[in-house]
Amino acid sequence: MAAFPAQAGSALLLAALVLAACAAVLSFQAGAAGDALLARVGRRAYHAAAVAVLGSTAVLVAALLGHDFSLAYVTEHTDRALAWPLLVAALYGGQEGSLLYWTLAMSAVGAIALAAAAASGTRLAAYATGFLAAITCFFLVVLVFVASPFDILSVTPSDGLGLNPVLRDGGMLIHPPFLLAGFSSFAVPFSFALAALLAGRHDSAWIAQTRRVALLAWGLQGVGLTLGMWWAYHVLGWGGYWGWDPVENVALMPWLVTTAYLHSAQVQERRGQLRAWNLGLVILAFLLSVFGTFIVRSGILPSVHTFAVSPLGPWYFGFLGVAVVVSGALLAWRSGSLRSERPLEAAVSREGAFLAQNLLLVTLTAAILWGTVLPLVSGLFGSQLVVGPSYFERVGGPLFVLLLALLAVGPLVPWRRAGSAWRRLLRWPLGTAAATLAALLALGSRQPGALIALPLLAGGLATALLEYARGTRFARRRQGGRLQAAGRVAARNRRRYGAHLAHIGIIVAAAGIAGSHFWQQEQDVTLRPGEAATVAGYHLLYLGPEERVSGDHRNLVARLGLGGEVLEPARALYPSLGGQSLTRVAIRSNATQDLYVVLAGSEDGAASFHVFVNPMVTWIWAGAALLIVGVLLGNLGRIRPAPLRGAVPRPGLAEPARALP
Amino acid sequence: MTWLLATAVLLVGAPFVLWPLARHWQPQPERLPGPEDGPDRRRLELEELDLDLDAGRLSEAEAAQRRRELP
Repeated sequence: MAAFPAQAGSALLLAALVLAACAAVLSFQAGAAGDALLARVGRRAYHAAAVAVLGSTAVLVAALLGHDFSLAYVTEHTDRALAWPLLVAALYGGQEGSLLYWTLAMSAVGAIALAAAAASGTRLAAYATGFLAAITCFFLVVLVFVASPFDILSVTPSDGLGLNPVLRDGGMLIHPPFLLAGFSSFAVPFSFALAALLAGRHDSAWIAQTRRVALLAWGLQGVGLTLGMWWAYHVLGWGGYWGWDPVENVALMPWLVTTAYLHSAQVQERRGQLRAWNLGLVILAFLLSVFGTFIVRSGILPSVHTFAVSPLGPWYFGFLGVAVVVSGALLAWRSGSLRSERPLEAAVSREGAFLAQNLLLVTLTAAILWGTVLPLVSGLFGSQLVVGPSYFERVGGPLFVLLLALLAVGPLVPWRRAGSAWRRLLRWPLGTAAATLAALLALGSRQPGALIALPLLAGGLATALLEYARGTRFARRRQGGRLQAAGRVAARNRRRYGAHLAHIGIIVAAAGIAGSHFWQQEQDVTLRPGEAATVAGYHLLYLGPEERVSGDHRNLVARLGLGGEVLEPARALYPSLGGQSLTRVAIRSNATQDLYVVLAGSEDGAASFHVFVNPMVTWIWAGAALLIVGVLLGNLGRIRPAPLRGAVPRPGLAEPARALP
Repeated sequence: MTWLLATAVLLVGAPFVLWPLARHWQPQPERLPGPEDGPDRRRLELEELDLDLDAGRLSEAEAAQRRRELP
């Protein structure tokens, strides 16, 4: 009977596989026949599969919480000393469990998106269900036949092996779930894109269905990336938050491509242009997420994130190949009917700015992809070449600068074509950028990167604030009352002003990245108890070592006095895990900079410290939060605007808005 | 045992999946989401023109020209 949970979990996965396969077959049949009844049955089969996956996940979580060491997965990733939040987090701490979580997130987001799309056209909705169910089938096949989290041990041990110390952190509770959910959610817009191609629906209907779910995947991935940076900064103890590690890169690439899509989708919605491009971006984002999964799961590239080399690599490679062939064939088949409704009228236009931004983001993605796969490609032709952070910074830096320039200028350009009027608006971002440059020079900054990036960011901020000011003035002229007008204009144009807030978030985060990158100070100091050192104005007094026992590990703490405060950088030692150790960083943050102290080692009573002073790091977290708030404000609820009332005609316009039908 | 349990799960789920067949469900008329069309689209474009004019993205002459070009 001890094996019953395992059998129940396996049975639920098997049932989910059968249901997902039925959903795929019925939905493709329904799409081909235009049969709405069959499409509904197929959709229900998919929903039932999602519930079965949820049930299977619940069984595994119960086994983790109940210390059911008859399951190999529970034994390999937990022990009795682990706190319950980390027991739950062990669900995605290993290969098989994270695959199950991935499948759960994808099927849950997919089930919601399919329910919302039910009335959007029988063929489009049915084919989307079919593709999504087919993708879900692949993951369930892997879970059932290759990497089951419900494998049973022949002998049940009394305790488990425990969770990797690096994963024993609060960040473990929030970073992986968001990132994995983001990765898996890219399958949903991909399914709608393929469905649109198969159904021949190249109009904006599929954009309406996919934009929100693409936004959801993008948001989850964005939050996951930010939390990953936060986790790396607080746990890994190297003074930074982004190392251009292959696994970081493969998580960033689909996010960049979806960022491009979320902008270019507006061009299709408003102007009927970039149809093939938009489909290509959505498809590319999913292919990159599968590629990333292949990298992480196969262990073919060295990374701190990858799982041990596993038999899953060929499976993902095969799946990636099938996805490339199917999506490429559908795109080629429909290429003739994917032409734009109308040509681009002028390069200097809002759509031109979006296109330029898209090209920059895709070029940036290509550069990151090349740097990531170079060891693989070069290995095929002889010696393996590896590029470091300097490659990504050298190649990505100019592209980021151009993107920042577009962020400052793009929102000021009108749709279709720009005449002469908009150029007058440039005085605001240009003036702000010039003033920022002058201020930086006056403050003694001579770092070229900072002198380029920060003025551009200030210009972008001026543009976003200008848009708010102009929008408020516009509404006040029509409706009176400054606050009331500002609220009304923001509510009516939530998508536009949410986007501006998201831009401000990007600007604040980018300023934090630039500041911490260009102005970071670093110093190694070795102190005996009672000795002091001054680093970048911080006077640090070494008070002495201290050893503390906590659960299954010992903390070797080096106490440092800083004014009236005590900083406690430490190393945690885990004797039960083969003597593994983990850095505990001491960080003192304020709005302008972080003091970041790492205990590097201790010998003969002396302690060695790496001390970093990282300017503006808190801006990164604040900017990311603003970005998410902006996206949420801009997209929650019903977007379709209500008409303005009481419009006042403006001179020069032949027809006032109030006279419109 | 696993196969037996899986079959039981499928039997439990079957009524939910097959329910539309049993109650002779009739499909709802399709609602095709997309950009605003007709008068709505025209109204929105006019408001956008007014906003662009007010924001300084368009001159009076450019806005009037675009207004004439609207369908």
